[in-house]
Amino acid sequence: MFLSARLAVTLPRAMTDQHSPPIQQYIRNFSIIAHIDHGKSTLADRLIEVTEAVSERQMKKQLLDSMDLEQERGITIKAQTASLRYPAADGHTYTLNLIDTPGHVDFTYEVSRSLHACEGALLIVDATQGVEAQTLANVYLALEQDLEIIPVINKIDLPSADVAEARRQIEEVIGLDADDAIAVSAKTGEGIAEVLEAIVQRIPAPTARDDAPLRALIVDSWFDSYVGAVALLRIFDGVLRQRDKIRLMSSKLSYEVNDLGVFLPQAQSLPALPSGQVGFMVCGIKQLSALRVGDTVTLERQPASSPLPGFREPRAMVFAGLYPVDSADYAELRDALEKLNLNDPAFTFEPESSMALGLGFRCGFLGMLHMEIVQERLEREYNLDLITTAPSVVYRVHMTDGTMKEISNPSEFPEPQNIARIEEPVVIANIFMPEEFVGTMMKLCQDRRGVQQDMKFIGQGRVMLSYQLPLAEMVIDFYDRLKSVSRGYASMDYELSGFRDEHVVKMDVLVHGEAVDALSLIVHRSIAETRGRELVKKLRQLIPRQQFDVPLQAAIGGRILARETVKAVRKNVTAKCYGGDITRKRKLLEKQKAGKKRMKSIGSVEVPQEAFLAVLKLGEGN
Amino acid sequence: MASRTLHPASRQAAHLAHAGLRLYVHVPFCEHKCHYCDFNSHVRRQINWQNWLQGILRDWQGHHIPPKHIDSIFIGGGTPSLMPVDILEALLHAIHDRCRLAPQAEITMEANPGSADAGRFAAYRQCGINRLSIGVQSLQSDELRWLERIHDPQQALQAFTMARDAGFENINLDLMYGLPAQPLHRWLQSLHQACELQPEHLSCYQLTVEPGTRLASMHASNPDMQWPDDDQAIMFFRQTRRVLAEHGFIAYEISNYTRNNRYCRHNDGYWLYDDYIGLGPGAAGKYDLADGGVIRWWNIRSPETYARQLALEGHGVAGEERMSKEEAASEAFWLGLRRNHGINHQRFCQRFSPALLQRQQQACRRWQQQGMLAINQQQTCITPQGWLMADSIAASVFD
Repeated sequence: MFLSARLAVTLPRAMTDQHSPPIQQYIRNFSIIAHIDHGKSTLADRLIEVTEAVSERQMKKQLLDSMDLEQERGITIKAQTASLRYPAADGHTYTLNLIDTPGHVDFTYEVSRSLHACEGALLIVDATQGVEAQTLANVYLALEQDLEIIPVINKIDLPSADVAEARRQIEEVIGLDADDAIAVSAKTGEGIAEVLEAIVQRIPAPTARDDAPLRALIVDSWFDSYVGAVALLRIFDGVLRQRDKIRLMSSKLSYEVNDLGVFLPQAQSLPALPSGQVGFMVCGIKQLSALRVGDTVTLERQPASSPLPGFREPRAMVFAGLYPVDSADYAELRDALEKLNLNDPAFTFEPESSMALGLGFRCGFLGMLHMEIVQERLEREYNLDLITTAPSVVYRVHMTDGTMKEISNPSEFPEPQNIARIEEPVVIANIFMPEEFVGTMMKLCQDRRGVQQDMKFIGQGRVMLSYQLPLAEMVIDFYDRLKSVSRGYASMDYELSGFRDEHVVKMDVLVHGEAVDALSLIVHRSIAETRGRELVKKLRQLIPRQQFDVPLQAAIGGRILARETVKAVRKNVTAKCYGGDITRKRKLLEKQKAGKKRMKSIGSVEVPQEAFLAVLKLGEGN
Repeated sequence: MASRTLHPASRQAAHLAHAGLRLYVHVPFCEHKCHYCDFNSHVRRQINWQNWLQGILRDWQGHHIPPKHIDSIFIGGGTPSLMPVDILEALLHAIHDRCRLAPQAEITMEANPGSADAGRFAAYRQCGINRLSIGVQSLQSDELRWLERIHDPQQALQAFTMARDAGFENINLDLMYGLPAQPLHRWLQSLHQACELQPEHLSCYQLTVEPGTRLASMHASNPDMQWPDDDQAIMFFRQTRRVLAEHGFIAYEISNYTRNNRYCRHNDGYWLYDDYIGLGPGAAGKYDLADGGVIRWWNIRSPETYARQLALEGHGVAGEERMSKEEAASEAFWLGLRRNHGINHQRFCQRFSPALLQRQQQACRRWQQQGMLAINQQQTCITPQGWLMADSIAASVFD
């Protein structure tokens, strides 16, 4: 694992005195916030390099994005941090704690915790792109935390850079004063010195409260296979020392500190972390779930009276079934989920069995990206072939007897006669795009039952659309569709805005008369027919012809909405087989056969994996 | 698939289990390449027949054919009937010189019904060709035009008469059905007419769109072509069998029919897993190996590249593959299923083993349960109901 590599650098650990605890007035805690690809990681690299925290030799490109997956996606999933020693122009040496934030909407809560640990933030805007959806979302989060925001206009080395326009958008779209915005090129290093000075001069120092009872915020936590769970802490009140007995205020668990220190970005042990400082803590904890992001650490012997505000349990928003393609891999999948869960306690899983797919797990994720990441890590790191069922969201089903059930799995959907009403989660989505795509984007949103909230022209022929959209419509390929109707130019961010009453129903799909649980979905009544027709049509193309007719039906309760038939194969014979070229003919037969191996049998019907994914691709024909 | 080509000489070790050997000679030239054709045929303004013959003989030399008798020769194409008589004479002489032909050896030549070709039938017969396979395809002029054939129905009928007059007592006609928008009755008309000629053998193929042909691109760009659907194709297949049965023909293979037991011994050899050597561009061959496995190889398709490699390296092989005894058993099994008599158990067990026979039978047991496969003491064969699913049944041996 990448994390162990980082900690291993310091093992065995030597206590060092030369890194004596900084006085609070020489500490600056900051984050970098940006839209994807606007250069956050490059800027972080450059800051680390300039302060010589790491030699260039040690420096991998984009140091902070250390997971493979992150490097490929170009986003940061796991927040990391570095304490930089910076000799400022005023003659003092400052400790600049860079707290990395996850870069995606699914991790909004984590981002908010990271920002909460800071007094300021660098806001990067790409001089060639201007303000994008995530720029805005992140700025709002930073403003909620009362952070000092330093706008940084990046990529000024590119010929298409337009610094004046970026400034204008920072003022008009975001509403920040852009006079002091710093123009930089993280790539060439231009302007980096100014950024460092601005951090020192403009971001306030943390308040010193060394004598108060300890209150430390868990900003991030992760699992290291050598030392166990690691927490990244921001000390708000008091001092945390080696060997201290600590208590976690929300989980009420107690541990002893085995090690603490800062990241340079390599781990560096210290005797103590004073208030205002950011650093790591290791307690030999085997379960990462014990160190929950947002929880408050205090001391056993002198506990704080109240925790820091804002703790929230991570809450799964999107649910899907994960099944091994080969049912023999079930145990392997369970092991993999358990191991992965140690690293990423934000996803949940529980055993589930499907008539169609056999044994698998119902998994909960923070959002779509989170789901993709987990799925990809399972396939990549654990070498598993998976079938993922259509994702669904949590519905609040109010029963006729007055009770309320939260339902995320179509198979648990109550009988229609027992349902009084159903609420579904909705989000507010902000979509940025060039003007020319507004029409198609509005149509896409309307097709997804969106309600327009706002539309703003933000200059340079760009428009921001705000829509209220059901989360359920977002989880099924909305982002892909958004990218495809805008030829990749649109960006989007969303946040959960609550629940609204909707007429949703459970739609079943019957293959050869048998309801296939893995194909059931919860859908709005108004589009059930369309979806049902589309789905069975798609399935007809995906399910190969068998030796008998296979009817495919979409139904609500007993009512059939749509029907298609996969016609029986009644003839499969090659007329010509002579001239002696047997090899070619045999290869064709072998190919026919190989195709069958990847199928699941539902009753007597062979169904390929892709059929289960068909549900995900609905709405493409719009 | 073989990654590297062996020099054929190194196959001397190959052990020829069966007494007989079959020889295929490929003539890769045509006057016109029809849009549906995916055979190895090429249109050349001038054909250097001497070069072609030298190539064939050199190819053969590389194979070190042991002094065994040859059971059958098949000269296929392309259009072999473009061949000048003296070239054919030289070819057959060379074959006689190098090996012993079985007394009743079947020597087939494929021929086009064009008048120029038919004019040479008598001479071909004199050279020793004793079976003629005429590419009639259809006896409807519009169908022949659509197929881009260069003959008309009249010429086809004449060609048959000329073949008979030349002394051919074993004649096959190739016919094709399932053309776009072809009504059944028009196909049956061709079929009836062909039967009235009383050939010994008929091959009736459904037209298929093969990848890479001009027809395939026509098919792709024109979705309105009315190809027969499954139901229609099944009807064509069944009606063909019915009509031919009425005329006394037995369907001894999926697409091949014969009267008076004059089945094509050469082609039957492929399905019986006999050894054969293919000479000429794109031709394929197969030997049994001493360990019970087999080796298959295939030649370079382009006539010019084939000739060049032959001159440089002494062989025209493009690729080869070796199969273990077990793999060979699977292959022999599904090839055997193409015959109406299916797999002869005694023969199969001699060549392979009872255990391997059982394994193959086990793999296609479910077809037996559905009445599409019959297994008795002597043989395993596809039933009349099973013919239409022959490929699916064959594919089960890969389980």
